[in-house]
Amino acid sequence: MTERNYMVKNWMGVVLIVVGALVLMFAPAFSMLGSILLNVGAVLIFIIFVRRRWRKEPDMQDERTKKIGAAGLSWSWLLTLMLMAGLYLLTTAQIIDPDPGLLLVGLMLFLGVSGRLLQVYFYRKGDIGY
Amino acid sequence: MQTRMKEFRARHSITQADLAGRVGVRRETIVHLEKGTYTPSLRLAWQIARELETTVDELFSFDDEDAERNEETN
Repeated sequence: MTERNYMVKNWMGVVLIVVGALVLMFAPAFSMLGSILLNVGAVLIFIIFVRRRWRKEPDMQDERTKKIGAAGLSWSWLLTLMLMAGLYLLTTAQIIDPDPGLLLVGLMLFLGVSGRLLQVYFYRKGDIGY
Repeated sequence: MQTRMKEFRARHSITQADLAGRVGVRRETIVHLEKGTYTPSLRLAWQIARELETTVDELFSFDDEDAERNEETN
């Protein structure tokens, strides 16, 4: 990651924290959204800080990292879609009755976390093929 | 995928980091290429071959190709 990318992501974190705080202060009805924005912003800034502090070599992108990044995201979208289909079936069959707000937050987290985990897996494996 | 990158790199006394810098990739990519766990694009394969003063054919081979070669020799 270049210095410019670090700066951009740092500012994104700051903006998320400010928007989250504003939502919490002026729109109590959306307090959950405010908390999420605030937390995501704080985590983003923390991750950038850790990366800048401990990375030995520049975090540049090359053909392998771009390929792995795209594949990780594609697989996570597919997994999330399958999860949504499963949840739809379970809800339709009245086996579960999830809270819509929590469900949306859960799906957003699942999308992000599964994408990152898949990317880490592919990085360690070397490539996205079998 | 089989590769002779390590051998050619040693011949030219180039480190993995040097080669990575010359062809514009991360050092980890060179590590995975040498282990045979990453299949490069044609462009990257050509760039590496040029840096190591050889050809793509000399540098990389695939299992199917190896099997075919063995059949031909037998």
